Amino acid sequence: MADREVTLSIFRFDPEKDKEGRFVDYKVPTVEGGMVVLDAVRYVQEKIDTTLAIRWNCKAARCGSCSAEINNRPALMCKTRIDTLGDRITVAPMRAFPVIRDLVTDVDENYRIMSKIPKFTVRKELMNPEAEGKKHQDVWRIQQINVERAKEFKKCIECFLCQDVCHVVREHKSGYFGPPRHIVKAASLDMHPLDIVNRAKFLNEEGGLGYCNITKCCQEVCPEHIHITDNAIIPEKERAVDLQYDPLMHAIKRRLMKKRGETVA
Amino acid sequence: MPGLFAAGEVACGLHGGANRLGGNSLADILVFGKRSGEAAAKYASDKKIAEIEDSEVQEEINRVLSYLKPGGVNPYLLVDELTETMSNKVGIVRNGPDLESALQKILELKEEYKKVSVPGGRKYNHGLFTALELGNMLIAAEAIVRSAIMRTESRGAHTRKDYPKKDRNWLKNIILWKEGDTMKMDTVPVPEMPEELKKLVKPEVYQ
Amino acid sequence: MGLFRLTCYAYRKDYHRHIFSHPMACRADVRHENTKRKYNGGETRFFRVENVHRYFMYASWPIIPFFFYDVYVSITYKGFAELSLGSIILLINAIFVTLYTFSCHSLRHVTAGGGAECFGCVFNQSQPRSSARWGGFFRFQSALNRHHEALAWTSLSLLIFVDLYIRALGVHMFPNIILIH
Repeated sequence: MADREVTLSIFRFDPEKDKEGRFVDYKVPTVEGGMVVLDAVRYVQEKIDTTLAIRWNCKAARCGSCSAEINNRPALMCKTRIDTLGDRITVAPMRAFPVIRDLVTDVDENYRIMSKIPKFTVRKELMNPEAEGKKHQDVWRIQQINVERAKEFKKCIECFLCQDVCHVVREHKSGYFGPPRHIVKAASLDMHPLDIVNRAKFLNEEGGLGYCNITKCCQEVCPEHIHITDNAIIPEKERAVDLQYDPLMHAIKRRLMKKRGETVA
Repeated sequence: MPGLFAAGEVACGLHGGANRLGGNSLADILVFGKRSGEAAAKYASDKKIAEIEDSEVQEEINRVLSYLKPGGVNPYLLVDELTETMSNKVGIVRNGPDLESALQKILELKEEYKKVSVPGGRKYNHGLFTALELGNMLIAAEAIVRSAIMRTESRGAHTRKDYPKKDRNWLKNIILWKEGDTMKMDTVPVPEMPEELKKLVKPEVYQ
Repeated sequence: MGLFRLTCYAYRKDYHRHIFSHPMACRADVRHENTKRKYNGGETRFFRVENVHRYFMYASWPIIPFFFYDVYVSITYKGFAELSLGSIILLINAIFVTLYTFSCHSLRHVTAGGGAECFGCVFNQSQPRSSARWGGFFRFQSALNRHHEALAWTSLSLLIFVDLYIRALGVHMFPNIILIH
C-alpha cells in the first residue's frame, strides 16, 4: 500500500460548551499499510488537536475500549484497517449511549443492568461433597464440552458494539436488556454446570427477551466472533419456551429440574 | 516510608536479580503479593486513616490545573522525543558517550517540560493526562540513565559495550533520592546469598 | 412445512430485516433519532407465535419420508429399476430438506441439550460414557446448526426448482435423461 492521505471526519461534542455535536474534518497524511483507524485518530490527537477525547488502551482488540462507529458501522477502532476503507472515513461515538465528550461514551448503564441478572449460585452439594459420599475433586470436575460452551461467552471483551448495533436498543427504547453482557452473561451462567439457577423466565419477563427478533446484527459486529444469536439468544429463547409456552417440555423440564435441585429465577 | 507495601518488580527484584525480562517478576508478584497483602491488611487494621490538609489537596489540584492553558508546548511532541532518545541510546546494549548524551537530552526536555501546557477542559482531556505522565516519565528516564552511567559493568539485562565484564565490586544496588530539584544517588551492598541457596547455584552466577 | 420455515430462526432474520425493516440495516446511518416509527414488539406480540417453532418442526417430520419415497418411486415406477437425472435431483433435494430440518435450532435445544445445564454432570456421572456421547451429539448438532441459514436457502430454492423440473417432465417439455437402465 503506497502512502496516501485520508480525511477523517470525527464527531466532536463537548457537553459543557456545545449544544449539538458536529463533524470536523482532519487530514491525516502518509497513511501506511497496516495502519488502523485508531492510529489515525491518535495522529489527530497528537499532532493536530490535543483536546480530542478518545478512550483506548491495548490497541490489540482485547480491552474493548475503543468502540466507535466507523463509516456508521459499529467497530473497534484498533481492529479496522484503513486500507479497507475509502479516502474519507467518518468516526462517531457509539450513539446508543450518552456521549461524555467527543468519541467517549458513558456505558455505565450496561453495568447497572448487569447487576440485575441473578448471581451465580453454586449447587449446595458441591460445598460439602463428603456428606454426599463423593470426593471433592470428582464433584468439581467439568466436562470438556461444558468448558467449550462457556468459553465462547467468556471471550466477551465488553466493547458493547452489539448493544450499539441492536436496533431494539437503538431505535425503540423498549426496556430490552440487549445482547452483550446481559444475555450472553446470563447464558454463560445458565450453561455453567455448577450453577443451579435458570434465568430464562427472568430474561423473558424482565429482560424483554421477546423483543429480539433474531436479526443477527450483533453477531455480525462482534469483534470476538461470539455467536451471540445462535449460541446465546436462541438457546435462551428456547429455554423460555420450555418454561412458558411448551406444556410438554415444561412438564419434563420441571421434573428434571426438581431432580437436579434447580430453581427458576 | 511507613505504610507503603510493594510486590513484584518494584519490590527491588528479589529473585530476578539484574535480569529484568518480562514475566520474570511473576513469581515475585505471586509470592510477595500474598505476603505484602496480608501484612498490609494487618497493618491497616490497627491504624487510623491519615488526615490530609485541605490546603494540600488544593495545592495538588492547582498543580494539575496549571497545565490547562492554551499556547504552551505540546506534551505529545516531548513524549515522542523522549521515546526516541530512550530507545536509540538507552536500549539493551549501552555505552558511556550515548548515555551521557541521553542524559543531556533528558535534562533539556526537563527544561522544556516547564513550558508544557494543553488546551481544553478538565473532562476527558487526554492531553492533560499526557502532560502529567510526562513529568513522571522524565523522572523515571533520568533515574534509569543516571544509574546506567554509574554502573560500570555488564550484568543481567544491563550490557555496556565499554565495560563488557561482570564486576565483583558491583554487588551493590543503586538507590536514588530527591534533594531539592536534583537527583542524588548512592549504592548499598546487596545482602549476601544464604548458604542453602549457594549450594543450588554455581558461584559464577552470584558473583 | 411452510409454518416451520416461517418461524425458522434463519428466515426470521431475513423477513424482519427486509420486509418489516426492523432493523433497516446493521449500519447506523439509518438511525432515526426522533423516529415516530413504531416497533412491532419483536416477538412479544404477533410474533409470539414464533415460540411454538418446535411444534411446527415436529409436524414437518412425517413429511420427510415422502421425499425419499418419491426418489424410490421415480426409480421403480416403470416396473423395473431405472436411474434417471430426475431421480438424482430428487435425492439431492430430499437430502437437503432433511439436513435443513435436522439442523434446526429448536431440535438442537430439545434433543442435543441446548437446554441442558451440563453434559455429564457430576450427578450423571454414573454413566460417563453416555454423557460423552451426548456431548458429541451436541457438537454434531452445533456443527449442522452453523449451516442452518445456508441450508435453509439452498433447500428452499431446490424445492422450487425440483417442483418446476418435475412439472416440466410431466408435460414432456424435455425428455428425462436416463443414466442407468
